[in-house]
Amino acid sequence: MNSFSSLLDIYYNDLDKYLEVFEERRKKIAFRLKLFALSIFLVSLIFILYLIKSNSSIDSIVAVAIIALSIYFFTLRLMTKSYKKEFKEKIIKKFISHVDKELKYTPDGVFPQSLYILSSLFPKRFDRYRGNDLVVGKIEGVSVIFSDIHTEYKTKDSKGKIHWHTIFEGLFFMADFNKKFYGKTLIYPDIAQKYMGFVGQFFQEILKKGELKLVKMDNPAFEKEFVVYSSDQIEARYILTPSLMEKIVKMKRTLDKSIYISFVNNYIFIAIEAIDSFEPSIFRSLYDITIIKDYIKVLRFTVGLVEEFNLNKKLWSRL
Amino acid sequence: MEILIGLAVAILFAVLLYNFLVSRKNQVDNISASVDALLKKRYDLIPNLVASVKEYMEYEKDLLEKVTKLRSKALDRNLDEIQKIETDQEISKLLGDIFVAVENYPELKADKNILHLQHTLNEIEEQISAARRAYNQAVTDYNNAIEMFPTNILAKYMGYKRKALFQIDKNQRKSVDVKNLFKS
Repeated sequence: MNSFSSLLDIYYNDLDKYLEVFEERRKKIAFRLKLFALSIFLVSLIFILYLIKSNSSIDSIVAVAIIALSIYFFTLRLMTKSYKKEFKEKIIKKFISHVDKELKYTPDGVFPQSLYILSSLFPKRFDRYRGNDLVVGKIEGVSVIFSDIHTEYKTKDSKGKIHWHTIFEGLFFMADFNKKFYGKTLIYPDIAQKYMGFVGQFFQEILKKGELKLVKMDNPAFEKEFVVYSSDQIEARYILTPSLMEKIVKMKRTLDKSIYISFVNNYIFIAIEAIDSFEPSIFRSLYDITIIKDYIKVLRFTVGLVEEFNLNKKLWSRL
Repeated sequence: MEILIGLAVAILFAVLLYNFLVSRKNQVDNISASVDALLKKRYDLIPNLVASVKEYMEYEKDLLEKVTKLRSKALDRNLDEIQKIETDQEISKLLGDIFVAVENYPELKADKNILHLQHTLNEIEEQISAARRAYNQAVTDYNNAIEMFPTNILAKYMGYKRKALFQIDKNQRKSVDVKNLFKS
């Protein structure tokens, strides 16, 4: 895996000629957007002042503000859409292929639904499945696939109005696992035990996940952060060795995000909430190191998972 | 009437506690059986290993004899839990010693059969260590149940006693770690 600084070099040196073009474009768009924002602000201000003077109700003033804001966000989307798309096509695509030649990036691609279902992490039936920034390929000989996804279900209230609720939104990652196993093991963030301690654990035991049973792990730090369910007590520990548990805890602490992991069909699935992989910001310079840091963080993290979890070291039974 | 209801509740409560204790005990027995199965799997590989290295290992005859003897001892059904654990730990150590000795024989080191055996033993070792951890957790749950109120009262009448945990000795486990052996 490339080091952080070598990835920075790739970004600043190898991609420099593209960056320059995009930075020019970004500045132009940002300038136009700011101008647009200003004019909208002024127009609505005049409007509002007029409304106040003519003693209109507060409702109409709020309405004007809302309309102005919606026009602004609509334009923002419209003006940045093609820029974002091309940025991904040119810069991010090149960047990812620099990281590993066998990785293929598709900005519009989505993590396959069938694999999302296979992971068993979010059994709730979804009504809408969206995503982007798909990366498929091999890292050190290990097949991986990941993308941003957003799954939702809908409900109807008494007035017949439809409401959308998020099931999962974030990064969904899958790779071949280096050990052979037959059952199913799921790892969830532990909310009950973290806040309710012993009582929480008692409830976990009662609330079994279908056929899966609670597995108490022998690493207190891990137990505090996560709860494990598995179809096989021994297999769960065969997969979750003490060192793997430590690595998962470390990952959780560095990212500080909700993490879901499952082991199904000899695959490892990792879902991390609230990560949006490769979205360029229009109001920050492309040369801004914090932006590229975010890209590298996501990439290093996903690519690094293979190394970190030793997925590239196959055990005898899987050769 | 109230007395009857109270009695019924008490009986129901006792039945639940009783079943809970039995399930804890069965969980230990269950996993203990899996540990035995895995240990046996490992012991079954020993004759194969001894046969493969015997021709070459002139100077380590003692070691090979010892491990063969220990194997028959380990397969004896009359061993209690503690003896089983002790025999297993000795065998683990001897297996480690054999693979260290293999290092001195270039023919052996390159032998596919030996490599396969090493990998298989390593794999089983990982499974055994997982099974031991599962066993320890089951025993801890069981021990907690027979010591905590109110299940302790019932456990006393049922004659349930504390069970011993596996001592997981890190050095011994490492001795069969093939990766480390081949690092040099």
